[in-house]
Amino acid sequence: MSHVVTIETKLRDPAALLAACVRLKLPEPRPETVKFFDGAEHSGLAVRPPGFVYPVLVQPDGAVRCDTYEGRWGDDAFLGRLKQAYAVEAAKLQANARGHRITETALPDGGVKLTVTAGAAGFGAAPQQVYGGAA
Amino acid sequence: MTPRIEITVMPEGETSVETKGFAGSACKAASKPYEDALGSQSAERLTPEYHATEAVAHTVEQRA
Repeated sequence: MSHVVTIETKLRDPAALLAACVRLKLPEPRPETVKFFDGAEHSGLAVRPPGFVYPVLVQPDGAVRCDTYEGRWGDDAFLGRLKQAYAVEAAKLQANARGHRITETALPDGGVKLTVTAGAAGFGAAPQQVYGGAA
Repeated sequence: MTPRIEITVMPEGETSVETKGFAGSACKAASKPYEDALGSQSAERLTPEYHATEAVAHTVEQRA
């Protein structure tokens, strides 16, 4: 039997976030407390894309906080690319931890399709290693 | 069909997880770790394959 689940991406795993930054050729995200334009201070892992006035701050619950001033202080489309890269890398980490095979295919519309098949142990096997808090 | 999980990630970051070729409730157990790793579920849809398998199982139950 089969089903389709739509997921709202949450950037909760620091290892997957690091891998996403490597994929996007960005510096390693670092823990920072950032004071945004509105004066509010927030802490998390700071991602610094080129051209951004404020870093993109990934908070421990996976929420993303940034201030692009409607694109004047940074490309709003970057947030989508960061989430996409994170989702791809998080899925790959899961597959590696569970001994599954995973292949990546670029789609014409800019999407990425990942196909996961089980190894010899099947899909029910316990993970060999769990990354972050979202096993 | 070989059981597999297909994950599609759009440029805007929206992700869908689809299982194919599983028997019984194994599909949900197989995809759950990936769903949890990616974020939180915002919608779920059962496919025609899901209902086809359930219908067969129901028929077998009635005959037993």
